[in-house]
Amino acid sequence: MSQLPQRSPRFTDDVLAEIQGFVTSGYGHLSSAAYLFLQFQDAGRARLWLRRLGPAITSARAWPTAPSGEKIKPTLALNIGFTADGLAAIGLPRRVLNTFPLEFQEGIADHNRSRILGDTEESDPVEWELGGPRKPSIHAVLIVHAESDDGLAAACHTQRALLVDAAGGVVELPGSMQTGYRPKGDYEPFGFHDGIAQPPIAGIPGDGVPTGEFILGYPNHYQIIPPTPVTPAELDHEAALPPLANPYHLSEQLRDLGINGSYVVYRKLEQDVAAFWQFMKSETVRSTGANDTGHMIWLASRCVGRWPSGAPLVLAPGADDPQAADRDDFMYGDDPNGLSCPLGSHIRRANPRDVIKPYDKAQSLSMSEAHRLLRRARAFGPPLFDAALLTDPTNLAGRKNLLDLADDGKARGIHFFCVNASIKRQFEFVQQTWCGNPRFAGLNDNKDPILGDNARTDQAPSHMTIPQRPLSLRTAALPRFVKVRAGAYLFMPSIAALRFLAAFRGN
Amino acid sequence: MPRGLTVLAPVRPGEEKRLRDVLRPIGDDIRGRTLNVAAGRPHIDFNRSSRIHFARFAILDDLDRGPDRKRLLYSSNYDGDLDSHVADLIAITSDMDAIWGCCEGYAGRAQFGAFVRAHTCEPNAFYIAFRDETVQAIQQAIALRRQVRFLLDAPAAGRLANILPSLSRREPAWVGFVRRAIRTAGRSLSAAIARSIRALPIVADLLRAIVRCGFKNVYSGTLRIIASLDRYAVFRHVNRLTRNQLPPMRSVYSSVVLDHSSVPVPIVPGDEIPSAQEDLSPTFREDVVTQNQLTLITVVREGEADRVRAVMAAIDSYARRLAAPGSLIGISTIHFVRWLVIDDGRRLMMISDYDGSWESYIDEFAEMILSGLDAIWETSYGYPPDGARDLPALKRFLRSHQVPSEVFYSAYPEETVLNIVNDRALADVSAAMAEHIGALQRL
Repeated sequence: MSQLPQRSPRFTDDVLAEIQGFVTSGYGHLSSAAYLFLQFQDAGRARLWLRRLGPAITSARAWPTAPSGEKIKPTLALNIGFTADGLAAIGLPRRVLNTFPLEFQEGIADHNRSRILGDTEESDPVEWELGGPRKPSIHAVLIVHAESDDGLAAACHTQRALLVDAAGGVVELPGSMQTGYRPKGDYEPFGFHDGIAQPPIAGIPGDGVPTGEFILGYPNHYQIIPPTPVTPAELDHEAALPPLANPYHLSEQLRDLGINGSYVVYRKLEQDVAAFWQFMKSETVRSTGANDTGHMIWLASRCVGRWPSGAPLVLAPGADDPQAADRDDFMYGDDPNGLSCPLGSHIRRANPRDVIKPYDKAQSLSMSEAHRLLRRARAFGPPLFDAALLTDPTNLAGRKNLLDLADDGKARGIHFFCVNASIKRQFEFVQQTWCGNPRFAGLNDNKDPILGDNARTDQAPSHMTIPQRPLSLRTAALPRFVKVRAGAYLFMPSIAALRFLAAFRGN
Repeated sequence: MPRGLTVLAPVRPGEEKRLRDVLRPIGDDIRGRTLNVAAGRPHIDFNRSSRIHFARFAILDDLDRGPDRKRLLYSSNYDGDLDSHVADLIAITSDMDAIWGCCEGYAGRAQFGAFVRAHTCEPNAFYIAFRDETVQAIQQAIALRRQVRFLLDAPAAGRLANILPSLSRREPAWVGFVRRAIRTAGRSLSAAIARSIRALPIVADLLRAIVRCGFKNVYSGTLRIIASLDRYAVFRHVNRLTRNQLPPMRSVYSSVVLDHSSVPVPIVPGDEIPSAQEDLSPTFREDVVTQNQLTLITVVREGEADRVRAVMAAIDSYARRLAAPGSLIGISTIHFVRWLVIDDGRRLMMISDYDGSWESYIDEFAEMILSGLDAIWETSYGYPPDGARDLPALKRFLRSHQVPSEVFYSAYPEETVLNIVNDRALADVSAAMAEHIGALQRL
């Protein structure tokens, strides 16, 4: 098994120019985002549209440097991912589709996937706004990032004009467009500083998690190159794709459709912010007998694993510490039983780092490395309250509002995207085995308080368990604070694969 | 100590469907799907027995008897002796004949014990997570934990707990420290002695294995298992002395098929690919979160039976003599696992009861005992050329040889091995407190 940190050859600019920029960058400087959900209605015209779109897609090529030494960052980024339905609708034959992983072929709304992901009851795909079985099928998602809302509107206008030119070959699903933004201070709707932990990708540019964990066609955590989607060479008559280098299939005249591509999971996660803080209030009253906002924040932080500022609990167990905000250089080795950071907290499940019970440090680090995700999220909906009050202990008047936080009927949450090379081994594994597992780390009845499918009628109640001296504290049954409203499993092809998809010899 | 039973009985020609129709609703009942015992429908009330840890029924191919023949697998882990288990099974099964009557050689419940003995296969390797726990003890520990949890949830619990540490402060700190140190030293000494005594029969195991399987097989098989276990000092030294290491990879690419939808095909005649006939869906029924089951059957290459038996002898000896409670060479998700070399050495069967999803179970194996997987299955047809290091190919190999169960029962279906470890610790605390309870009673 690989040991961290892993040496990997630096990626040349030629290779980076083949990878979509969304894979390697969260576009932090482009705060506005729009997601256009498209459907292909005529394969031929859709491919013509894709041919025109292709050159506009943003790659991972390094940003140029100005004479002043500053990076010249793009003001607009355009990326695209396809669902399995979309690849079929654009005319890709069955024998090519079959070389994609089964979970991708089935799609996120499939019954098997829902069972694994805990997408049940109010999160059931049947109830989804987008991507569920009762809604028109999503074929592709165009991801637009821009510096400002005006820039975003202009970019969307351009893209819609291109769709009009496609003369019905590609349509935007009616009323489907989603927009997201990078919230002030990067506080997600519950009020916690978000988007801190991102694994570095080996080779882009330095050490990191093995490249093959995030980009297809490279050695992964297990030091092996898993199969990539392939196409018979005769379909690729423009020779857009490199030949498949896999020695087990050299004689079969295959081209590598997957190399430099990746898989992207999209989930629209709606957060019930009022219910979240009301639960913290009722639990505070139950365990302390008083309305104490400080204790509410303490309890919410135990659920998250970080304080609202982003300070990890293992570095600041007693109180929020702005000095430790955003720090990601910590381990759980000194806190094996969760006295500082509960075993059941969200961040300890999403990445258990060096403590996966009952394994030793090296094994735990290795297992953690095999299940990392690159997160790409944007918020939607107006904040219910000013999250800055959570990190400001002097703002007593503001904190009082927390006690009476009521739902305003507006939807809010995050558009969650993650990039991984294996949806099953990375995203689904984390969701099922770590977040959705009530028995995670030897716990008895504690799913992820944030992302778990808590409060299911067909399962035992889930309680947040907080180890502490002298005795552990357990909350009342957790409600489901986060509801899934839309989703898609996407293939994010390389730039070369986009050219292939626009030009392959169809039926 | 729990025992394991493996019964393999040929199904009468043409009775497969009837047997499946009887077994499936029983399995569904246990999973809580139907939850009503329809009048007249055969059922097995496993919960009425307090001595069965796990049990399963599966219908396997019986290719040696004929292309359309099947055999019934009944596997269980139980407390007590075989006679009482057989009596238990008769007592909890509403209609023995409806199930077992589909099998050749079954002559009614009166002769069931003899039938079971005639069709029992002995495991070549058998690992039990908790060798000293009965079903009742595990269930009592769970009940105790629930009661304690209930008490801890009460508001006054914290106040009582705050008092308890101060009760022991009557002696100087160093006295307590010395006393604890002496107690700890005494405990580790007696544990070390107990471990050594338990480990002594390894010598006899080794000699027996050499006589049965040949020195070469025992030597090379054992080395193969430990090639990836450098994290243990003793194995690291052996590996260094014998220059024992994993062979270089043939390729950095996985050898797995590129077409993920392709149905696996038998590699040699007699190779059983259950998923091809039974359940094409990529997600087996055997894949829920807390506990799952695995029944695997592979064909051993000609002339390799003794090699597999030697590997199994080594695993068996380790599991019996060295494995710590709840841990098989570091893997802590297995409740029970056994391997059986069956059909005169032509096939290898694995039967396991484990925690977590299928994916996480296999990932964990690959992370912890890579070369052990190679040692176990590299002599089977269809094993990937680069072995367990080629994880996608390993998973396809295992998945395509997995037999789905018709019935799967667990006496404590929500408990992971780790939960049981914790529950046992809590039970020990409560036992220790019980010794001093008099002081509280006189308050």
